[in-house]
Amino acid sequence: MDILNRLDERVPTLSDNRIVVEITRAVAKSGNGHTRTYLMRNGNYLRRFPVRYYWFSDGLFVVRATEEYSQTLGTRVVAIDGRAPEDLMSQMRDLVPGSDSWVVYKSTYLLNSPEFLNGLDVVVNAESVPITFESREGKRFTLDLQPLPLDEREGPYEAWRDLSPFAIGNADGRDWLHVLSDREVPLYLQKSNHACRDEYLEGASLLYVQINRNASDETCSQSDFAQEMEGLADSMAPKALVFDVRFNTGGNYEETAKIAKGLPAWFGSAERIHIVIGPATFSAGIATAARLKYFSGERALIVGEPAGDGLRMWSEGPTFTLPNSKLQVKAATAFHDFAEARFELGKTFFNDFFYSVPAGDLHVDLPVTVSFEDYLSGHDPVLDLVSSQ
Amino acid sequence: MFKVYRQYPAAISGGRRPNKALEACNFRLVASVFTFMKKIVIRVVALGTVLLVLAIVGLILLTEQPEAPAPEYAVPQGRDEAWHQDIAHLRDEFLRVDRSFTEETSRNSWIF
Repeated sequence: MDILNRLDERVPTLSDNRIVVEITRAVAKSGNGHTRTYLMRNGNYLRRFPVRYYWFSDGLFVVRATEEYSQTLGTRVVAIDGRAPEDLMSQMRDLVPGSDSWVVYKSTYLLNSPEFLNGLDVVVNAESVPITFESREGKRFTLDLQPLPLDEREGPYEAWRDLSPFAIGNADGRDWLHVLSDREVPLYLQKSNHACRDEYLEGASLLYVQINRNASDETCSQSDFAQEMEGLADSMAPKALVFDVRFNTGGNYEETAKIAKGLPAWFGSAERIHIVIGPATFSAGIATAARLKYFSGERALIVGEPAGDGLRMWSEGPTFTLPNSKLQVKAATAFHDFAEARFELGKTFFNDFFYSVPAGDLHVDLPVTVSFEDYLSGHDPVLDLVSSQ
Repeated sequence: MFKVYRQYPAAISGGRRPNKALEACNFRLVASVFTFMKKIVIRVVALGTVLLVLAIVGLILLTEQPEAPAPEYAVPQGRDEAWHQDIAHLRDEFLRVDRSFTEETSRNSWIF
């Protein structure tokens, strides 16, 4: 079946938005999360609504909005041009390669673009889209949303950062309002701009370590951080350790190789090592979780929600730009196997020879979801559960 | 079986005086064995290093194949031709990064 030939034949009858959707659909046939079109997360190709929403266990809620749409903050998105966002998830499945969790995370972007939704035939007019919101008191209202001008910044836009009022990483020069501006921000979002951080919760004798990005930047040097953790072990004997990579969408897995291997040995006092993952845990974030699980042995417990990809994945490879539309596409060409650590010449990513581990799986031992009420009240059900263990 | 006696203080050696001739003989024997072993170790390490470097270079060449130059396209005449070119480019690029393409085994075979 030649997907591209069929698309080529239909070009005269399809809108530009529809062709972008169909190219996205063709690339998604790979079934591999890293082989993808760069639309809104790793590229700024499509315009977006002046509100930002995020999936919680009880629905899609608005967490950020421009001043003009301040009344939408904290509301649930009930319908986009008459269609419930939950009902659109089956269409997202064909457009986002990867696990069901990754589809949920990536849909946060796709459902936020009037152009993409127009290409999907979900919205009639991409320049003005009626969206129905429901307030916390149960009152429903509909507003016509116009897309913001194309955000032409370079660099990835992480949807999860929208959860934090301190998310400077997603700043685009506008005065965004945030639903948590005057509220307590949960621990896991307090340093959303930091690639890594730690916190000792004395009452629970719990060491909380968070790695939001497998990279070193001005907020964090991963090698220094690993060294700091190793030094900390001399003066601290926590009973539990929480390693949070729920928002770690990747980077370079070598950056966290030392800490993922060292933590279980450095903190031998910790009876349990809780590894927190979620739909946004992806790529090097998964590799980091897999390595920590492997080196923690029987002490490891996976907490949260299924990760955005499996332990066997295609990754790496070139990104190319289509000559006229300038749409960017990535083709993954190197294989990783963090389930069995099998190395195959010509297929497996070379560095895996040194870093891959047979972690088995990342099956969630303690499933935890976050509701909008949890989020709004500054609670982290994950930490609540771990602390009560 | 050879024993190598060293010049220990009388209290340790029990007052026994070592045989100087035997000592010299033993030292020569040990020294020659040591020198021989050292040469072997140096050669094994050198050979091992060369083999390791060759293996690493080989692995890199096998896993990261050099890419052919990107194809060039004429200036498109109109909107449809622009999209036709883009779709052709998409196909070409997937072929280019996966030169071992076959219908059954290619990691990118879904697109063809």
